[in-house]
Amino acid sequence: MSNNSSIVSLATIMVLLSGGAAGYTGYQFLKNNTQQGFLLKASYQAQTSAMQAIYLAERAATDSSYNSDMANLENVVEKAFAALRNGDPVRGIEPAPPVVLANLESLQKVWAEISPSISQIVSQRTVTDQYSRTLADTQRTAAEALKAAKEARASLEASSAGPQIKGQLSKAVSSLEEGQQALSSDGAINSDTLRAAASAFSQYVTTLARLGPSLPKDQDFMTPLVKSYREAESVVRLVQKTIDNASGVSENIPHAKTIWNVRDRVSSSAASLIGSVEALPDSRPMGITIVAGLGGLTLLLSIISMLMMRSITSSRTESIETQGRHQEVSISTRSKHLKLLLDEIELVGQGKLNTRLTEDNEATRDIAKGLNKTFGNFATILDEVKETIIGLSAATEQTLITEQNVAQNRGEQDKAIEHISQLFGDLSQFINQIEDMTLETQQISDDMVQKVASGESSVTQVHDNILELQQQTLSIQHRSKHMIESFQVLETIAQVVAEVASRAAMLSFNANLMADELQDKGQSIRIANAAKAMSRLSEETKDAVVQINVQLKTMNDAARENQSAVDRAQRETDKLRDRSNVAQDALKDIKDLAGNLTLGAQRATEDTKELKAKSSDVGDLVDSVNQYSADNSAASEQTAVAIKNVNRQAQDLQSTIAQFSKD
Amino acid sequence: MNSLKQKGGMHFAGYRIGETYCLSPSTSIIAVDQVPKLLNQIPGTKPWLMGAGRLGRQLLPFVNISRFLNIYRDPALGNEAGAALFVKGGEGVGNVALVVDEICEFLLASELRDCDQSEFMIPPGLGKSMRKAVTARGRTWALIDLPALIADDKLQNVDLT
Repeated sequence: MSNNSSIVSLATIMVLLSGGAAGYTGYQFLKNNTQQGFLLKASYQAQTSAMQAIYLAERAATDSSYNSDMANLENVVEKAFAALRNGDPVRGIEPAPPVVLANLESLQKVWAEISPSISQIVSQRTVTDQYSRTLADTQRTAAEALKAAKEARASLEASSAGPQIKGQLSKAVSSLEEGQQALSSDGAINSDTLRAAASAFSQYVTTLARLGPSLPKDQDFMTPLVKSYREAESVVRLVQKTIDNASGVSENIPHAKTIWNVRDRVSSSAASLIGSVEALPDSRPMGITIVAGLGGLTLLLSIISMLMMRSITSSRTESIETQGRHQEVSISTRSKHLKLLLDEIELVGQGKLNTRLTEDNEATRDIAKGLNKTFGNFATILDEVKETIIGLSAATEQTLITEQNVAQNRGEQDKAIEHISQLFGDLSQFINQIEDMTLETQQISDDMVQKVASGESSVTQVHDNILELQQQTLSIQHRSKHMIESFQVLETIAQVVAEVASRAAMLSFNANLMADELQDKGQSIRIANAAKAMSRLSEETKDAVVQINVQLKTMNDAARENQSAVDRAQRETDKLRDRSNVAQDALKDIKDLAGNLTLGAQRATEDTKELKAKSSDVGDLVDSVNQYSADNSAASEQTAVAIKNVNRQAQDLQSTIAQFSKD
Repeated sequence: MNSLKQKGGMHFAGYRIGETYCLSPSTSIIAVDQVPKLLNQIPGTKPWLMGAGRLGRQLLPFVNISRFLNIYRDPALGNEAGAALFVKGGEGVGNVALVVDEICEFLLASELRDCDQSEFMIPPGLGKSMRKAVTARGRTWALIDLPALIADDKLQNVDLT
């Protein structure tokens, strides 16, 4: 059977392989044919154009009108070479195979030899043009000279000149005609032809020069003759010029020769190239025979594989029918065995775990063996489960106790947390009190600053007043001094008065003395009276002076006391000023201290705020601890419930497995 | 004495030398005046000779009588110049200006009363020329014979030798 199927797949693979090969070779064949046609066309084009270029080279060397054709041909050759080398990417034609490329290489090598010469010829176009122009001038002048000479000969024939002269002239004209014919010939004019024409013309000129004296001096005859003479001379000159130009053309000649020389090699190389292209189908592995063979093989293989598949299918059908009958018998036996096994398993299911399943039946032997082993293990597992259930109930009890403990712990924890939160409440109250106190302190400090400022301004005013007072005291002092000086002046005046009194006393004394001296009693008495009056005046004056002095002394003392009092006042005001300075400094210090106190109070307020924030954080923390504790307790409760459930399920399991017994 | 005889109508000039109040008859005194401020001590003379001064056209010696009598002068009383008594000298004596401490009063002879002179104390130099002690106007006075005082040899001998 398997053999048959492998043969079928093998045949299919072969059919596919041969079909693919036939298709591939056919495609390759078509492609090669197209390529060969393309290459053949290019090769022929290269050969034809190259040969045309070679043949044209000689003419182009002397005639510039061929130069464009020459350049075109060169281009065509290069294009053909490029086509051979690169194929046609647009049409999907591949480049030429190596055999053709080798031949192309040789042709290109030959072509490379003549290619510079061709370009030389093409580039010599200007020189060739000048040559052609000069040559045309020469031909025209020669024609005019011949025409004039013929006119002169005709008029000489008509005249009565000697036949010898006539003969000589007609000979000279005929040589002129020869020269003219040589110049105007359509064939290739080379330098030799030009030189021959020039000698013919110069011969005509010398003949005329020799005949000159013997010729009749007729005007009708001489004018054309002289004209022909001059034209012939200029022809000689022009020919010389043409030859000079031709030497430029002559440069082309070697190139043309070179090109001509390689003609055979070019043609042979081109022929071999064409040959190699034509021989391409022979060199290719995929010929038409291979394509046809592969197609036939494919067809044959298809037919063979079809026949083979038909026979295989019929034999397969028979074998399947036989197998079907076998299957029916074995299935009925197996169902009996399975019925028995099921009955036994039913027994086990009812709880008789020690029932042994029959292991003799072939169909159920493995299952029975496996089930016997499994039921044994199952009994063991049941025992273990029972033990586990007992352990689980013990664990449940333990868990319940633990849950109770947890609940108790939670109560204690709650109490502790409550205590902590109470503590924090007290703390926050305390902080609030501190804050209030700090605020009060700050307010007091601010008030103090204000009061100190007002006190400072008052002290400053006092200071100013003191300064004013000092100034006034000073002026009082000055006035007092002035007064004392005035008293001194008054004293001086009093002294003067005293002096006057003493003088008056002395005067009265002297008057008395004089009265005593006088003999005249009456006069003496008068003088004595005057002296008495004077004495009285002196006494009164003296008394007055004494009084004045007493008064002055009193006033002086008063002034001095005043002075000393003023001095004392001055000293006191000095002290007062010092004190006010000290007070000002002290007030300034107090102000600074109050400022510091305000700052400190502000800082304390900020700190208190921070503390408050921290305290609230701690409150949050306590709350979260509380929450956590509640969660923990809940988790514990849940665990207890879960364990209870597990225990219940374990009890259920126990009641379920109770029916299974080993007995 | 002459002065005592004509007691009734006589005038007495009162003056003071140191602490002693003296009286002299006005007839022996030419005039009284202040002591000139510019008195120059004459070289080679006694210290009590204060110098020479003028009375009118007359040139007179000025004698400091307190100093001459070695009377203590209380400096607390001040440096008062006092007054000059121009005294009439007898013949061969000439007029002298006596510088006394003070000129007091001009008294009439009728005002004077005699008194016991045993209690009266005077400087030793004046004793020679004192004649009597009297009371007048509530004060005890010494009656001094001025011409006798200036006629004293000591006073006349002014040079230091």
